[in-house]
Amino acid sequence: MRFKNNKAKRKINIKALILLSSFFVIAVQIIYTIQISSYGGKLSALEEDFDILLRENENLTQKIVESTSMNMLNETAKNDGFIKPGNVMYVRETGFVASAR
Amino acid sequence: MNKFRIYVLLVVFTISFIGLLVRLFYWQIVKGAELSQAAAGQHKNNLILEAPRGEIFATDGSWLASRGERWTLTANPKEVSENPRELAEEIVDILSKDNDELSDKKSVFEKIDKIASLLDKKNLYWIALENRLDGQKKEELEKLSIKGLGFEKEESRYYPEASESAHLLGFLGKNENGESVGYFGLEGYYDEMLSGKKGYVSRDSDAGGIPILFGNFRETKSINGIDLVTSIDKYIQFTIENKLHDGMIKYGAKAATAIVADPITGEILAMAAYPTFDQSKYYQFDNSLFINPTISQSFEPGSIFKVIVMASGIDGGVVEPDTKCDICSGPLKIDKYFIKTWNNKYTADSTMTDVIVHSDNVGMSFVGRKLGADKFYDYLSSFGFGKLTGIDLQGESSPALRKKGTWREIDIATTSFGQGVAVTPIQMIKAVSVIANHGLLTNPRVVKKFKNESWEYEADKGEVKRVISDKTAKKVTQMMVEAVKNGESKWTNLRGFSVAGKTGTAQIPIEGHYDAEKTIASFVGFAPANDPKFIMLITLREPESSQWASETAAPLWFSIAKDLFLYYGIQPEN
Repeated sequence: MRFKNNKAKRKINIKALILLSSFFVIAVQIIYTIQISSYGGKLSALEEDFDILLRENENLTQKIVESTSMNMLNETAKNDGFIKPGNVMYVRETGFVASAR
Repeated sequence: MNKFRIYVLLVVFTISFIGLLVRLFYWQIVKGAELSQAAAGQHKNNLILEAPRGEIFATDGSWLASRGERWTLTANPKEVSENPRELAEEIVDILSKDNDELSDKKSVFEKIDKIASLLDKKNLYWIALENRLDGQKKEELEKLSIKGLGFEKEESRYYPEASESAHLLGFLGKNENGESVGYFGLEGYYDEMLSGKKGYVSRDSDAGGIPILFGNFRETKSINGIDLVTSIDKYIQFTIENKLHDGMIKYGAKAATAIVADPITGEILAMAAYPTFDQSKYYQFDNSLFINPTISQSFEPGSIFKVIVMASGIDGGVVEPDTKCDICSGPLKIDKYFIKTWNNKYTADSTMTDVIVHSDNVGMSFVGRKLGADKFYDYLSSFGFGKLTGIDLQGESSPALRKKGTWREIDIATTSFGQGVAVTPIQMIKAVSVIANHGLLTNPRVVKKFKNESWEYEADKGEVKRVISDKTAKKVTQMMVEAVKNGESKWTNLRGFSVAGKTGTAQIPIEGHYDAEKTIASFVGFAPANDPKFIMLITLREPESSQWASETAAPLWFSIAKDLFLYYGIQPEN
């Protein structure tokens, strides 16, 4: 009689175990799916950030390119009062004749 | 009664079932492919990964051509609810700001009509309204918040020095399919390398466009274009562009070219030609302006060719600098022709140095005769005439040399002083560099290095060949130094500086004869003569102020050289 009871208990336990496992697997699947979906959103946001940074980078590069233009530098130098020497004198002195600091 | 009802119900169900089957057949079989494509379009996200075009750098690492950002204004006429004409007016109002093409009323109205008619095509889903919009105009148009308008990024180029180096760089244009393609110069020659390869991503996404990570995903990565590091020196380029332009106006020339190179390595330091064009607005210019005359336009070199012939004569062992010319006492008669000197003055027993200094045509005919036709041809061929120099710029051409074995005596005579033979400026630079480079022939190159984010490698410099001996090169260099000091252009010489050079005034052949008034004035030279830092060739086509190179090309050469001496820190000797 005692033995019979144990067998019945074991039967119930297996059913419950299968049920519980199924619930667990489904729950994990749902949580995982939700999490993966949120990663999709995060990936999309990262891609948008990447595009913005890329655009910023291009704009900054463009500014550097413009500022290294010889025409631009020439104009800036002219506006700042620099003038090209009209004539260059070469002297025979071996020591310093004039120095600039 | 009950039975009747059952029959009616059966008929209704049967008809409904057949109807359903027919409908299903229609959706699944007839429209199946189309609908499945439309469904895929809703959840499949296909992206093209751009491959940014490689950039072009000067030797100091600054930009000659960089990636630019331009936009195409597009519209979906089905979605546009505003009146097409009113919308066109709004758009053109923004487009016309700082726009030379829309500066007058007529062109503005034409533009409005064009855009309005495009917006009126309600059967279309996509139309391009305007190309090459800059970021500012895009922002202004975006602020209008008009439904149905959109923007597509297009590949473009930014040239920081504007139209400078236009012939050297070429430009980025469009082919017949609307794809960006490099044309002429470096953009054309290295187009495949600069272009890179576009990538592709295909993935599932939800209704909001958010990617589904456990869905289908396929990616082919893009490969960026390769960057080019050139030997172009921005300072020298800037200097020759400006001085050549000023010189062309000052001497009233129709066209002008300038090349500055390192004669030891063959690297091109600067290259300019006028008239020129603006690369960013290439579509406004005539196609003939895109051709780079420094590598494509042939001309009869005249007296600058004499140094090549003299080098051949000395190396061939037929003359020495002090060899006396025994036919130089007067004009030389060959068949029905008379070979004369440029000023009709003759000096008996001139030495070969005198022949170069005074640019004596009879003296050069003496050298040509001594060399003989075959030897003459062989030397010219080994100096690189009659074939392409191999410079890495698109569009090089080479005039042919007269075939070996067909040279008559008159051909030998005229070729010896640079008439009846055609060369390109780049061929002349390559050949005279042999004299500056101790007799070695190098290959003119513009690109020094190729690089990407993770690697770089040196460009192939090609084979270096010996054409004349070092001894010959030194002798000819000394003759060229004498020509600068005591020749016709001595007045323009910068005292104290050691320059080896030669003027050339070549008559232009027109309809079978030479026009005495129309000339190409040129000057080729290198400095310092014994340890050259640069070699430079200037040509001026049909200068009006004077037909002589000694009064046009030579002073222009020295005016540029003056700046280069300062730049290189070259000081006067003694």
